[in-house]
Amino acid sequence: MQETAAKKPAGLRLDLSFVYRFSRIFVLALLVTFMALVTPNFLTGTNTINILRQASLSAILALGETIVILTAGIDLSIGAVLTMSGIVGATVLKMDGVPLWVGVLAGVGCGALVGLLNGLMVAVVRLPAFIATYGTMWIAQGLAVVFLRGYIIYDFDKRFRFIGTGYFLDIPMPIIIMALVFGVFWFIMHKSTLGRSLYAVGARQETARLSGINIQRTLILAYTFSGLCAGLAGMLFVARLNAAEAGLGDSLLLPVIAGVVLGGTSLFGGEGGISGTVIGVIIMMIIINGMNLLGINSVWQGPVQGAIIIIAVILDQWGRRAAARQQVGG
Amino acid sequence: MTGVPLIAARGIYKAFPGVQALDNVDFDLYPGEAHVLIGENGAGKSTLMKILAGAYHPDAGTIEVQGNEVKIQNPREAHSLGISIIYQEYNLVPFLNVAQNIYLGRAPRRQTPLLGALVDHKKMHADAETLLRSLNTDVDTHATVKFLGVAQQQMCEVAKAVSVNARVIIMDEPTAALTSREIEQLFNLIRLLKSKGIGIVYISHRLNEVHEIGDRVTVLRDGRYIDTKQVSEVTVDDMISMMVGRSIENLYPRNYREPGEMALRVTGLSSQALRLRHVNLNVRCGEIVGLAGLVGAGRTELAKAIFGAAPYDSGAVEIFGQPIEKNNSPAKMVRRGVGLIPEDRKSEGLALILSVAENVVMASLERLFPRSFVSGKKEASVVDGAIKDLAIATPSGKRQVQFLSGGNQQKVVLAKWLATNSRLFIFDEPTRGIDVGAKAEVHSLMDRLVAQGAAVLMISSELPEILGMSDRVYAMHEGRVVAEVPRAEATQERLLAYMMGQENGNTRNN
Amino acid sequence: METRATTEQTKSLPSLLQRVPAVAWVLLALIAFFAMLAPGFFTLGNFLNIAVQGSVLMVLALAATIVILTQGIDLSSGAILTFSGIIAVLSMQAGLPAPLAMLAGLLTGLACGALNGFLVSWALLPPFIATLGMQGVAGGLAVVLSRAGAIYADAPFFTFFGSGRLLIIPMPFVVAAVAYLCTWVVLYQTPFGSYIFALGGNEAGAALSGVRTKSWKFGVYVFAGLLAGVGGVVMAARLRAADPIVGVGWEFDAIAATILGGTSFEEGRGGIAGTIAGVALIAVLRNGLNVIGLATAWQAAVIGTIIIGAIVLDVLLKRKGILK
Repeated sequence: MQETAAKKPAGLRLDLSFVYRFSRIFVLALLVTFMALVTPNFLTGTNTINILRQASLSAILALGETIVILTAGIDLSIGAVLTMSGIVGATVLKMDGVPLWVGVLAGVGCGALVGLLNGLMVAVVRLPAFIATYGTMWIAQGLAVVFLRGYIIYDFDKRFRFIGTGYFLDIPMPIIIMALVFGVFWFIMHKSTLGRSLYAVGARQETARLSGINIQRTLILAYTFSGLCAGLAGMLFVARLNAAEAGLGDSLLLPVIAGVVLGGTSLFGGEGGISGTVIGVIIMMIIINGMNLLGINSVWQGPVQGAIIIIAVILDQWGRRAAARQQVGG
Repeated sequence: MTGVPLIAARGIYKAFPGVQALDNVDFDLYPGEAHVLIGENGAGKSTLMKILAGAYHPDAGTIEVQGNEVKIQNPREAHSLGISIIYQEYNLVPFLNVAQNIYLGRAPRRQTPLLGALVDHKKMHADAETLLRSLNTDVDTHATVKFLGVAQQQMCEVAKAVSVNARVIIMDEPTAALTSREIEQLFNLIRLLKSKGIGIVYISHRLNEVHEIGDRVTVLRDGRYIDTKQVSEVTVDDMISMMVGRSIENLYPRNYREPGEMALRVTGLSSQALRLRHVNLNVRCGEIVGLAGLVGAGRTELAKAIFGAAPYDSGAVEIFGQPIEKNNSPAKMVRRGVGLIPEDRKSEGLALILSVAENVVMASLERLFPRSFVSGKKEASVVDGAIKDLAIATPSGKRQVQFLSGGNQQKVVLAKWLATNSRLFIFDEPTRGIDVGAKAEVHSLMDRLVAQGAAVLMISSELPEILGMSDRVYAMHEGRVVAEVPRAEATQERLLAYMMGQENGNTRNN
Repeated sequence: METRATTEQTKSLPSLLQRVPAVAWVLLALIAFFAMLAPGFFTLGNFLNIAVQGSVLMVLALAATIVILTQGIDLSSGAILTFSGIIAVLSMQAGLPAPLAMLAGLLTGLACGALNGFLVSWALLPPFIATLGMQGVAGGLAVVLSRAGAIYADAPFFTFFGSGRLLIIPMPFVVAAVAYLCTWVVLYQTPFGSYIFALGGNEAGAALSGVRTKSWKFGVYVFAGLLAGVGGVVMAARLRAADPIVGVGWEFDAIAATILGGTSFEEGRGGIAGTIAGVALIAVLRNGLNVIGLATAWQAAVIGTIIIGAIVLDVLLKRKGILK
């Protein structure tokens, strides 16, 4: 008996970094099981598609946000940028004789432009990211209202709406577009020198600078990507709702940041990645969807999402530290 | 020494991940003496002091304060035991005034009933005034610390340390940023404190200060206690040999050869912000040029200025015969084949949370992957090659650098610059805080680099390293290059004299 | 050495003065601009108006200033303001006497601040994320508790703090003045005040000096939460109602007023005197744009742009050494 007791710790020692890395998949599995048990409707095909479709929009935002957070920054403006881009795009789409692609491009470009502005303020002026992007958040929201002139823009061309509501090979378009964005970003983050630079800048900016990496260019690109994603998500949102109004992007910021954090990207930069983000966003969407299915009043979404962000960051930091401690000890 | 020691530390052990910082170290201090603690970088001086000040906890060993065994849990407890420490990094708050800084955490309160929570500014300034006068300084107690000069800030630090009724004051390299006249002022202050029965622990790299200010000297090497001597009984050479513990010749195998084309030429480089004054120097391919100087002489600043990492006001830099535009960036210098191995490995040389592989290719992304696509195969071959070539002890290239030992971390930094195929390397304290074996490997690597036709400018605070590795040596003092000494003429004594500003060996340069 | 000490000292005084006029000049220019465009602007009545409108912002900006002095940020103050107001009004609706209900509102702010402080000090969250989460929680709970609509209360004691006058001075202004005075005492007359500057200027050094940095940082957020609670109660008293979106975006104005007032994110530099000017600037801007009749739709965008533009300009000019 004594012998086995003595051996046990060595044989069964948990590899914490492994546990940490896969913890979000456990959480996802747990959540799915729980939801499937308490609500019969959860695992139906329509609901799954529904969740994924909702998730794809948030995921596009979250992918951009992940890149910014990986550089040790934050983009608080994504919700407002989504609104503004959606409205700008919608306005252009409604103009006579303007081809569809111009309207979409206007929306996406608008987002990228605001992102570029954020990037300039963070990289060149060197404002703290949360100040710069919080400022643009209010400006973009204000401009959205200006462009709207008190109306709701609705009823768009069917071909435009296809990107929000259509199917390709039985898969909803937003999911396909999200997958495309993921593919592009995956390539950038893992197969391009820019990806290396983004991680390096986030992990340790001074080291990256002294290694000859162009910090300003890297940061500006990160924020531009984030804005671009917000613009794209804005156009998708408008296409799905068939309408553009000033509240489009409200209540998107919190779940998106929560998704990134749940996905294991460190708010201190340099650690994590876009694959985790997709899982994080799906977790977030299941929670939101689950609250609806369980008949919880939607006003509870705000407090719950706020609490999830806080708890997720605490758990993530705790897990990361525990894993690191074990590495050092062992 | 007689009487009860103020401090008696016995058998202190302290380990950090990957390094035994203190290994059975003894240390004691008597009233009214200045006990100097010397040792190379990484010898464990600062760790020992932080333990005495309550900032670290020892893994084993006992500490007695005036004969009573104590456990010092935190800085507050150290204060109440009468132990104060003046760290190398300033402890002052920039936008508070001198009096507020001196009494930070211990401000006198008003005596009026109901107002006991408020600070008694009048008393605080009066106390501070009295204190500063008793230390023979005349810093204005209302001055905002941010706008004081370095020396005056240091006076505040000393006053702050004294103000807790300290019986022990620990000074960690207090003269690093001071001019010679300011140093004299500080020494007078230390003599004054000694005469009041206060014990001073004095950490320094400047061996000539030991005789001027010290009573006893203790030497640490690689975390181990070497010896404690009366200062009057030892010479600078004795101290050096105790610190180094080995003779120079057999440690630094160098193959000297005829230098080639000009790799770096700096003329008249000046910068107010970096405190550099009209610096001239050059480095040729195939040679290692040492840059000696005390901490604060401006060597690191010069390296950063050359590398485009810090702006300078005037002067010219030429790399391989090509003039460099003044507002340069590290990115451009890397493209021109210059590499900088920075002094602060953890915050400037590495991204600790990234993998070995990501660190190794960080500076050569453009060169290795000119079309911006990272080829995993190519990356792996570079990284695996570097791991093998430099014998980096890591299970794989995927391991986070923070989990490697100091020596292996430094090898990763070297691998990063080797991957760039640079031809001019600036090494800033290349062997600081790494073990002897890794040191030797770094040195032989440097020799190999110059054998392959590269040029090396090496900054080091260890004179044996400078002497053992360099073809030529420049000595810096207070922001200028004061002397150029060929290998044959370089001795520790001579270099030290230049570094201290006691001799001006090279008027041509100034 | 002696002469250097004194010259450096005299240098520091103008450097502070140099900073305040920068905002003050812009403020004067704005006032002149609005006065020329709209005759209704430059009247005593309107200035009283501005003072009342600026009062709640002042209280919130004081909170933002002490937090930013510690190199932190509080993105939740607007939501805490809303939440505290809702709790105060709900308590009155539940039959609690007005003074106790108002106290409940203040305690709500305090509790939210305490949670922020805990998250920043001990859970080691970056302040922006802790307070962003708090924004979601407090703002969300406000919506939950008010059932997403305005709720009303008109106890005389309560509304006195919103629309009453002390002699001729509007009560919100009195409250702001008292809040300023309290913050001034805390910041410049207590040890806590020095620790606030120390947290921002040299946290590690303060810890090595024996200052319990975590506890004091916690205290900073508690104090900021309490001030947000005060703002929320006064706001509700003025409107005789609490509304779940009333405080949306106020944290941005508060942060902007702080930065424009010369408090910086580096080294614990700044103070609350400059914040007065920053608040005045924003209050005048909001009021003036109204008075000259700029369409409401445009106001948010214009104000946001001016504020961010001013911050960017301020940072750039300081870096070039044109401003101190």
